[in-house]
Amino acid sequence: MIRYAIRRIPSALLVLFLASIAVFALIHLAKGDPAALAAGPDASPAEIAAKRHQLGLDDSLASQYLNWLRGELTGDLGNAYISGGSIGELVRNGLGNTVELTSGAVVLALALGGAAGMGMGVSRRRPVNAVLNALTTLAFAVPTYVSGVLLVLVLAVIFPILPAGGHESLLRDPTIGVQYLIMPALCLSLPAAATIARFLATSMRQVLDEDFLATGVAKGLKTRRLLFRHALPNALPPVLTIVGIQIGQMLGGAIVVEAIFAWPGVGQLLRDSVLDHEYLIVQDLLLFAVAVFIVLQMITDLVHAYIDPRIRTEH
Amino acid sequence: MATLNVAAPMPVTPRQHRIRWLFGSPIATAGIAVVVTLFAAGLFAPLLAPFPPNGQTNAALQGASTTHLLGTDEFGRDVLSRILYGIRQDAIVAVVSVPAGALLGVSLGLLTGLAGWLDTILQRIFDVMLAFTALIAGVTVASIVGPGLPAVLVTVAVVNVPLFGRITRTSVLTLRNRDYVVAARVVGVRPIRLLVRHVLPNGVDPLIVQLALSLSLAVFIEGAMSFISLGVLLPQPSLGNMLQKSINYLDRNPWYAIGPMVVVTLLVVGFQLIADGLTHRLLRR
Amino acid sequence: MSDLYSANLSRRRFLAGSLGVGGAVLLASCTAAVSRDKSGRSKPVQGGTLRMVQTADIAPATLLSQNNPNFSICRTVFNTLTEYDHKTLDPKPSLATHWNISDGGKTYVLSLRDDVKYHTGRPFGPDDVVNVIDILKQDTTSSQLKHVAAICDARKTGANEVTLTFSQAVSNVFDLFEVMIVVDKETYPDLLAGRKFIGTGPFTMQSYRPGSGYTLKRNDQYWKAGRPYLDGVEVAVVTQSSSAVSSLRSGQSQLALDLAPLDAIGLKGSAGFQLVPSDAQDSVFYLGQNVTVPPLDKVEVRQAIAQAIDRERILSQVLGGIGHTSSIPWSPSSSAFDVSKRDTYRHDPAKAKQLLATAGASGASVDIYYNAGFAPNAGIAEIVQFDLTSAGLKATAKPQQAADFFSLLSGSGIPGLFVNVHGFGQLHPATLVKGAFPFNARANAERFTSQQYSDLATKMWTTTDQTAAKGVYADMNDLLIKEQFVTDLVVSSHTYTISTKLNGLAWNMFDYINLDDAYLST
Repeated sequence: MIRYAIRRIPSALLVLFLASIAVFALIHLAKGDPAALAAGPDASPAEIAAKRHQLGLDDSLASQYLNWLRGELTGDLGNAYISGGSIGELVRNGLGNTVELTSGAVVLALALGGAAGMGMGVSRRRPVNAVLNALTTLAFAVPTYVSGVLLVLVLAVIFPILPAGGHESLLRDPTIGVQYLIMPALCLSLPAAATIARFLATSMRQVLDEDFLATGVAKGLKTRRLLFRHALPNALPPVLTIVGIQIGQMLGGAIVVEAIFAWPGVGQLLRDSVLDHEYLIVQDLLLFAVAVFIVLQMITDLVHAYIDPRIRTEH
Repeated sequence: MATLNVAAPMPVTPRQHRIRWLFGSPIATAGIAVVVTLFAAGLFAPLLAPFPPNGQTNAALQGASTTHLLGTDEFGRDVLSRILYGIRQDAIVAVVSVPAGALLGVSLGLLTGLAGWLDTILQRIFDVMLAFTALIAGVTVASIVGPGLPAVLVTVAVVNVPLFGRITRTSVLTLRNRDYVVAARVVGVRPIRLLVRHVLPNGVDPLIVQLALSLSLAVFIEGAMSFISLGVLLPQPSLGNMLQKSINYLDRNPWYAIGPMVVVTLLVVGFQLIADGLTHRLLRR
Repeated sequence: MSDLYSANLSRRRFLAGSLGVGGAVLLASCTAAVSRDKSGRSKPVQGGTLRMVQTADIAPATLLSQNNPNFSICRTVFNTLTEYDHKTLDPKPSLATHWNISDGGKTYVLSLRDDVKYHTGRPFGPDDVVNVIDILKQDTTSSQLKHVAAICDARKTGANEVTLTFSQAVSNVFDLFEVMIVVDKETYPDLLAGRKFIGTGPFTMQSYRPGSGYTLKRNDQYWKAGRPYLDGVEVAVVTQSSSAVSSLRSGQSQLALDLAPLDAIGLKGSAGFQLVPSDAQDSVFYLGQNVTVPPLDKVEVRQAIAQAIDRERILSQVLGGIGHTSSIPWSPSSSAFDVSKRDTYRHDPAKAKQLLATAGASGASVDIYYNAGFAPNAGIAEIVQFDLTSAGLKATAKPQQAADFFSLLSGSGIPGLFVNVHGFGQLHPATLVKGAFPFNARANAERFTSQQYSDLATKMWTTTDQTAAKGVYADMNDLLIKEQFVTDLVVSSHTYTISTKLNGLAWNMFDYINLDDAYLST
């Protein structure tokens, strides 16, 4: 198993390295001049040129790439062009908030997806299945920007019980913080919940059809015990693999969800940085998003290989 | 959204009649009805729209009425008319970008069958491309070409390349050892002709399912990018940018939001239903 | 100028307007302390933390460039040399206690306070003033008052005295003293990088969290005895105006800066809140017309455009009715303000069409550029496009990203019309025509050059006699109204949306907020 893991690492690193070159090269194709923005509203061309030099924007591309990579590896991400503030800190602040949002969404996705999946997998009643099926189809397909606006319309405008948007740290004020978290986390969790539900349902149905459960029933085990102690543990592994992929997708989803709910996370930071030509921040965050995806994919592969040993020998 | 990983490669059998399947599945038929109706409405927007999409008046943020079925926006423009014109943006993306991305993806996928080293390189390229999930790809493209409809067009095309590429590659791998392909090769059919004339036609079913999924994804991406100001820019109406603006006015004219919400959902779900129906008919026996 | 076109503009960054309907009543009372305690208790309360939201993050690198988001720290962490009285517009002492003007207005001898310490404990002195002036002269610093600093030679002439010698007498030196924050010379590089914020103001920066906000703590060493009342200030950056409203409603914060006009108006009706437009009225929305681009090279076309725009609709649909439609750039507080010329251009499509026809420009194409990230400008651009189309021009909207817009503006120039905001119309008229980029007589955003104009601008700057100046102002107004390279639309202003619990909020004439006397009643 460990050997398999070690074998997977170089190719993941290679993809990551290629992605870093792609990100850097692509971003430098972009037009637009961050120096103009950094120099302030009324800067003269001379002031802008001075700023460009000060920001190192007139260095050669190769040296800009190496500087960037070095910064990336040493954790010194440099300073933002416009605000002059530390990018590391900007990213850390945003990341903290995004992790808060994503964690909330993962918890909700597991809870909702788990409940719906169990319901669909176990229930033999047609109406229940049909309703759950329709709900998961909708939750899967409806874009976050639709479900998000709908949530705001219903829970903040028609029945004003939750704030329309904004953020309060859970650590600083848990009661208020949770109120801010509910809608964005729910919105972000819906597609993942639907996917988890479908996988779990399929997996449960397969497990329930297997012999050892029939034996369980014969031995007279209680249904609930049967489900949770015997069926669920066997149905879970394939579902776990999909959870990893779903978390990887959430980072992309967070860009939209954070925009709807004014959540000050990396998604907002990325969007604003693109609009402001803050190449350094855009590069960092894109590479980060790609890295997260690659790492989660690798973990998923490993979990998969752990569950299904045949995979290990295939490659 | 999770559509990216939906089209996992699946084993296929070649089929002969591909017209009947479209209407053979009630789910797919429903999806087609919805999508065709909406796109037709967008196409005939100049005839159907009660007002010009950019016609401003003093009557801002009116609620729904018989004159303005979905009310007006912050500049007194008719929301319904703007939605009809907004659908056109999705239609453009669907008609231009999805086929372009699919074509490129299929071509690259076929190339993997030519040589081992080519396969390795293309596989890595697909890996890197897939590591950019749909919206991350959108942000990347927008930061290069700048926000606007072109950014959406490029994003949708780029996102589709590895999806179609991988499916095609799987078909190539499974089909190239089939008897008739081997036979053709022995007879001396040249490799490219072999791939295009013998392998591709028999691996087309999963590509068609992916096409439906990709159209759904295209509508999603247009909406999402426009919603975060990286896609279609105002005053040009699009479903995404209307929805974004409408958040500020939910209490004054909720129809401003509800209209685009319903249309986007119908389009996304409609294409998804087509894909579901096709999956049942084509890929499962 | 563009306090408003803050450096990193995001999607929903708005500003709000000025004197609205009913705002006039507030204006009279808001010079010093805006919100009186309703119960009649006016005894300040010591302690408490003010929680405040603003829609954009501060940008330390542009602290000397009149950048709107920074206005919450310019006068809370730092101080300026003098402060205008809002009614009489006379400068009042702050870090400078006395000033002696001699040599026909060329020499200013400033006596400085001797009891002021920077937050590091280092005493403030004349060298610090010399240092800021030097910084303003540098190429990497941009400031609208740079033209004043540029001709100034600053020297320490005593333990608490600094002498500024100008190469010629100019009328707007106190605008410089009002705007220029006196930074600490030892930590200036750290300030630019957002690492250390060392000033002499009533609060010290306890922590700055880029992108999300900052925390201020009471400066126990503050030179104004017994001030400030507050123990601290918590500032959160909430990029979405509607979310800032939620924050106010839930009681999470007591002050919001520059809410979206329509959101601010929405809150106006609710009990416990007050919408206060700044009396400085220094947010003027305008349409720039590049006079080198046909058909805008014809003055009749520019006038037709000025005539075609429905300013009333801009005021109500974009700015929530806060402000005044205007054809001249001045705030009512300016000595160049002339109420009889304010409404020279009114919405008159027929006349606009006729003017265009005479100029032979009917059906000509014009492009309208704007920063799409700044919602009011985007909204105004949409209205302008519609109005110009209705007047028979082929008007195309060209939405830009902030960075592209500003690099076009200050670089190769904008090839057509553009929507933007300017400030600096509230005090000395000279500051506008010398320092604000749309007007700058030496080189402006519209590429407008005229000997008459630059002569008038120089005359405005160097005429220190008030009565003589009046005539110059009248000539300048006539020229601006005729030439229309800048088409002014609405004179609006920054807004403060405050909970009635907050008392004693003040600001200077450039809208730096001042919390010296602010307190929270229970």
